[in-house]
Amino acid sequence: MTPLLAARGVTKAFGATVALDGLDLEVERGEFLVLVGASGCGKSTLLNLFAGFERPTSGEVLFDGERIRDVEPRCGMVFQNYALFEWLTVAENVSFGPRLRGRPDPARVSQLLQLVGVADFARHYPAQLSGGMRQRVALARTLANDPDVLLCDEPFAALDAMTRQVLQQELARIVEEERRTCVFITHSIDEALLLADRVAVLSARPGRVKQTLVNDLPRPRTAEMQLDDAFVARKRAIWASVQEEVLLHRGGDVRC
Amino acid sequence: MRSFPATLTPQRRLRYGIVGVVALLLVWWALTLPVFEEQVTHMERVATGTFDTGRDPRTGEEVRVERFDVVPRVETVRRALVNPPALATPTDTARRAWGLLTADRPNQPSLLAHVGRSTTRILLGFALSALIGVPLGVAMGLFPVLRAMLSPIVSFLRPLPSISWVPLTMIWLGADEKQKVAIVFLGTFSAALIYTVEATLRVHPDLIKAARNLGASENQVLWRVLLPAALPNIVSGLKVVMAIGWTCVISAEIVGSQEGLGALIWTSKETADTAAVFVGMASISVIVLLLDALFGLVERQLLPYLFLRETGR
Amino acid sequence: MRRRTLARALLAACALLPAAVFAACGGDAPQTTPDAGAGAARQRVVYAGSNWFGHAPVWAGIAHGIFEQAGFDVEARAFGSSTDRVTALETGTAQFASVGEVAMLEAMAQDRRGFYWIGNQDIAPGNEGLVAIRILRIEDLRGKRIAVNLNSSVHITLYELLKSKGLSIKTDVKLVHGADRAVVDLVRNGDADAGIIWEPYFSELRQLPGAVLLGRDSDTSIFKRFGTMTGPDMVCASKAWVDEDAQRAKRFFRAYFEAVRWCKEHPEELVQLIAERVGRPQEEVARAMANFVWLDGDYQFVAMSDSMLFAQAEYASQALLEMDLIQTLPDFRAWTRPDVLAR
Repeated sequence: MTPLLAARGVTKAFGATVALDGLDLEVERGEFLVLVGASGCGKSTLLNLFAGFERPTSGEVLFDGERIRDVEPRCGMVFQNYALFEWLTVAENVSFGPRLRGRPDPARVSQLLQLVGVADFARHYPAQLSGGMRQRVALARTLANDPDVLLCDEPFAALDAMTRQVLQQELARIVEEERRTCVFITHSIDEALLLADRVAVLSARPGRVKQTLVNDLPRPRTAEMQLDDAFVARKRAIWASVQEEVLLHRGGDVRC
Repeated sequence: MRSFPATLTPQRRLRYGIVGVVALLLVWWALTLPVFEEQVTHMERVATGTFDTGRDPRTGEEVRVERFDVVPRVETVRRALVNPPALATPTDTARRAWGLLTADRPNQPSLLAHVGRSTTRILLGFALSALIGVPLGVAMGLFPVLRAMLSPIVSFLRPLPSISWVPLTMIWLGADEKQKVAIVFLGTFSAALIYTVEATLRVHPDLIKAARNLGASENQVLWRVLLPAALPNIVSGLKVVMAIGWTCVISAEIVGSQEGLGALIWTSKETADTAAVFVGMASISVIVLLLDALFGLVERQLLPYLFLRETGR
Repeated sequence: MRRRTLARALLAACALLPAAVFAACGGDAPQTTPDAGAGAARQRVVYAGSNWFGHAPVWAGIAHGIFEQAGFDVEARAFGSSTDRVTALETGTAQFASVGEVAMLEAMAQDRRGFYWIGNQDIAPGNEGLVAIRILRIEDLRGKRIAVNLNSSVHITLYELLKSKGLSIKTDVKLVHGADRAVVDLVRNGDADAGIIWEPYFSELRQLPGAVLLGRDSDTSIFKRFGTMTGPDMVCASKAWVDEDAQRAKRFFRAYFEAVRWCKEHPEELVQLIAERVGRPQEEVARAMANFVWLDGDYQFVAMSDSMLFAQAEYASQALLEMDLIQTLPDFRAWTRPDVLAR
């Protein structure tokens, strides 16, 4: 079965800086893949390539076997800073995609608002919502376009610990309910283990897939699991791998 | 300083504000109160009964003209700390304000005519600046080549104060309404342009990415995302443009205009009518504040989301 | 430094700063030294005028040492409008000035008492004129726009010229204000159908295409009745300066009218002096000076009397009152000092 997303020998350079070098990665339909790695190792660049915002310097990026040529709406992106449209209400934000095509779908919109838990705030503006609520809206907006893949670039990094935990569980629930494919970037190994079917560790600049681990912890995953031995063992393994890269390439933040 | 910054409740602020204004009015009144007695020596003309003879320069004929002399006459006058024309008394100013409002002097426009004339000029100049500056600014924000080509010219034009445009505009357009509006335009255009360029460049790239990711075409990105996202900063830039425009109008009216608040102030100087100058200046302040408030109202209508606060959890 | 000491130091500095600024700006006032006769240090006197040829006596007096001999150091400054010069006299920025009669009467009507009307030095008719574009008679100016320097002599000239043909300046024409050259620009651009102004802009007006000369100040009833212009330039002095030392004022104005006499007795040299000073060709200056009649000290008694200027001033004041330029008739005799020029 062709993988839904594939990167074959992808190299991406920005001027003299090489972000990714000969990276190979495959994402299966329906799987939740989490990318972890040191800062500056190209995780966001990879996501931008999958979304079609950038094109690889060499190698190819494929969606369902076909080359990704331009911005790919079938790979819906969720941003760290929400990127909500401040001048539109919550409902208008969510229905943005459908309305672009001239086919507003109020039923689907309200269903999505229910799904992410912001139905009561449909007429509010993003400025009136907390960070957690805004990310829910952003998620609903992306889902309204019915993308095949969800690309998440550290979506919960800007939230406090409690909200983060709640949203992790929400996301896990939604992804499972809707049977979506998801590529998720995070710095938090705990988050990775809570959400992922598979974890890919990227090496430091230039980025390559260093290691992939299958995460077979049982679902549904709860916060308490973080204290189990099985969880800790897997965490130790991933952590060691990431630390190696961190120590190899101590450096400042670079466009990743 | 126990706590910084210290603040007051709105009611107390209002009260103290009123106290401040009343205190100023009292100081003004006290300064112009004629409480001092001064001995002033006048030289009074008196006929001497003697005559001068000589030739009339116009006709060359002999003439006889009575000779006058002066005798000092001491008079006690009342003076204030500050006398007209340096400061007009509050009552004179109020009376003059009423006179200007009701146009009590024939052949001289009423205060409202002056206000209307200045306001019309500034609104026209402002509209021209906005209608040309905003679209051009957005284009410059979007196209770096255009930006690179026009930036040096704009940087050169920006520091020029509106009054330095008076000579050129007078040569090109004379001293009519077109010239006054042109001064406002020339003095505000570069500001409108620069603020718009900045507003466009400050739109967060993630918003554009999100829009494209949701399937928006180039056109849709421009009209449905970029412009609405830049609008708050464009509007605040235009508020500044309006303020700049007022200084342009006043300086334009000083040269060659009979109607308008700037003209009122300047011609009042010619007749040492300090009260009218005060009224003119106060009118300028009032109008600017009113237009500002109006602008704020429009802002609240157009951009309600800027004024909301976090309520949802 | 402890905060208290710092605060006190700051307050002291703030208190001294305005004093320092004041002292620095005070340099404009004339430095008057006690008078000890001709051998003493020269008195500094500032004259507020402009570049019009009528100010020539001052230039001549400076150039030929007439003031110097009398013990005065005169500085001639070009200074704004006539009203600005009245203000200069009242505030002490200038000690004597040439003030247009209209501005002078208006200042008197506002009871501005800081100056004296000393005398009048020239009769120079024909230097102001009304020029229209393709309009052949004054009567045809009804309803038209006329560019005029409001509140000046040409304003009265226009009043007179219109009145002579039965037109009212208040209701029958539209006035557009223009300062000096602006009158020419307004007519040239078509913003006015006619313009009235003094030299050298009067000549420029006449050179516009289609220009028709409708009348000069020498055509007015004022000139016919009183033998002088509609709003001659008057010699005025600062009241404070004269009151401080009346003898000094007498000495000074004696010297001044000596300079006027020099102008009268040396017409060719005068033309040369003016041409050099204002940078205009000698022929132009000579033409303008051809009808100048200089009134030196011997004639002031006639000029400043009911038989000439006082009668003219009464008529002019009435005209200004009628035009709503003043609200009350000024008692202009109260501003005169007949003792200063007494022979």
